[in-house]
Amino acid sequence: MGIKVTIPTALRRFANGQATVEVPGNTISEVLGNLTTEHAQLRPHLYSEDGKLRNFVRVYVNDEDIRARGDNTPVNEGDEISIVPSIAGGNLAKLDPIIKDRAKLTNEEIKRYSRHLILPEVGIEGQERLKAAKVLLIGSGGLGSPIALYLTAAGVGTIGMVEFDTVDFSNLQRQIIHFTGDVGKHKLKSAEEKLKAINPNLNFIPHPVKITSDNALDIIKDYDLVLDGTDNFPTRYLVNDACVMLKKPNVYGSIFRWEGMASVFAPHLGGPCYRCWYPEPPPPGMVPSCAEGGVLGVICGIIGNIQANEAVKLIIGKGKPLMGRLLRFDAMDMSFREYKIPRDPNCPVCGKNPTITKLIDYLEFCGIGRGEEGGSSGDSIVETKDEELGPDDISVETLKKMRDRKEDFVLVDVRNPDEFAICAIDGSVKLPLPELPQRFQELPKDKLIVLHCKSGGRSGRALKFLRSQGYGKLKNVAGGINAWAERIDPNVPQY
Amino acid sequence: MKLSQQLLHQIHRQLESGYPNEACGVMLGKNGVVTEIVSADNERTDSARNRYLIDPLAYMKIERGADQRGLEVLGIYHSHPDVAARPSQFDLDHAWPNFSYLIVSVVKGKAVESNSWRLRDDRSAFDREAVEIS
Repeated sequence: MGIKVTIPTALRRFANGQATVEVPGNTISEVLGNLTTEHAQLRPHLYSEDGKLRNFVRVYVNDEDIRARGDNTPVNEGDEISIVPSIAGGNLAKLDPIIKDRAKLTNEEIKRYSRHLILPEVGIEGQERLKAAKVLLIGSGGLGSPIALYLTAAGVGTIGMVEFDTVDFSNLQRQIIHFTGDVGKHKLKSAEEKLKAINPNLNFIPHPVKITSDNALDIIKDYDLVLDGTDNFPTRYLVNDACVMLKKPNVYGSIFRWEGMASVFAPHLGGPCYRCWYPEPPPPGMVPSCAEGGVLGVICGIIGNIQANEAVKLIIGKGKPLMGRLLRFDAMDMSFREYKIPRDPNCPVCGKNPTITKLIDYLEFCGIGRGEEGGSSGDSIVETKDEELGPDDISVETLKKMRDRKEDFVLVDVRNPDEFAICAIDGSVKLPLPELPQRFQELPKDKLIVLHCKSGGRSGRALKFLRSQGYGKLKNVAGGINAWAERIDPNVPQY
Repeated sequence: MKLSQQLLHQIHRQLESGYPNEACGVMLGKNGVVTEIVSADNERTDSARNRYLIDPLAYMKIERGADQRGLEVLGIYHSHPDVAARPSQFDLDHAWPNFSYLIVSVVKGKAVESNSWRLRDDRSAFDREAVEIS
């Protein structure tokens, strides 16, 4: 069966000068595959090295763009396929500095920044832009710590920080802006002390709130640039959407275990946004948080400083920004890999016809119910509150009473084996959440099953799973083993 | 590529009036001689200062119109506001073969330099081509 394919002028030389050719095939990809086998010179112009149709090649069937339907779209005799060039180009070599103002330096500052001032790309001009810059950090945790320390030292004039949490012992392994003596102190207070000690010229603006759909635009609008150091999906999407709407560059970083990633999202400067890359969040629980999976502390410094580096470049308008590119770092291999992130013309936020034009409910968007664990560190907008027990929850006090009365139930610990080694509640059945789908039949259906994890999030998901498998008598220990350690058994360590 | 002084002037005026944004259009003709230019809208309203994009359907219409009148699309012209008339990496990544890419540097609203470039068949680089003004 022959399908008529219209060749654009630019490619006709590679198809013996013909404007149309007839090629057999039952789908778009078969037809184009046969076309490029017959006329091999067409191939490099239609397909990139990884075998994908180049993004500037549009394919129309009977004048309908088939991009949305994919290249497995069937074609029938009589259909006409047109290869249509999307003509694009432009100059991305030079980016204007995002900071147009300059703030004059004092003599003390000239001395302080002398190593920048003699660096041709920074100089007086760049340093004065840094001083005029207003930068917002979302979170003062693993990533926020090095970002804040280095940008303050570099001479960024105004740094705002959004954070509602207090310093915890478990933060100190990676959140290097906080010291042992700060445990229990508000993180903003702790951060401000260190930053002012490094550079008393800093104008520090604390935002002691959780960032939400109600306040995000108000907080972000007064800043020139945002650095996202959050560890959970609802906040990441919220910050992305707010930055797109306000036309603020969003310097993204994330870390997990031995890996980290960074990129710059700025559709108003020609790049993609976070949604162009990840249109939808993963199902809740599929991607574990650092509190569940662990994270190498050192990674925070590496990724946070890549973010700080990109912020400086954007402010002074020098170099090639990490835009449209995702940098992925593997600390075990000690390797960096770069991935291209194309802009999605149909992106619901930054595309041509956006469908999301105001901030939405990000917990709902990410499939996270209120009271369920969405993240872990202080950056989270979701938290578990013991006093707000859900219908499936029991407190650690209730669990203690049930044990003391020797009630008949099975206590199941769904944490990972590495965590069992840290601490455990006597007599619990150890069944890690990832193994639950294969092993749940080990649990009796006729007995009450009480589930716990570290703080209540994973055991909540285990409960939902067991309920879907027909288990009727289920309870979740609110606050998990950490609440048990805090309120019931002081011999159990918290982590 | 051959081009009359009058057409070059027309291109310059269109690109100057688009400043500080990038502006663009299509050159039609035969046997390497441009006889007609068609201005096109820059669809990149989000980033018009450093990007241009011609809507594929609009381009398809221009090409079909040319085919019907026995003309060919010879190439594309576009402006580089405040930067040199040299193709960027982005231009290279998105270039089509067998076209003349006429790039005009427009500095502070004035067209100051025009160069024409052709993509190598292996997509590795652009080569500058002579522009004969008649």
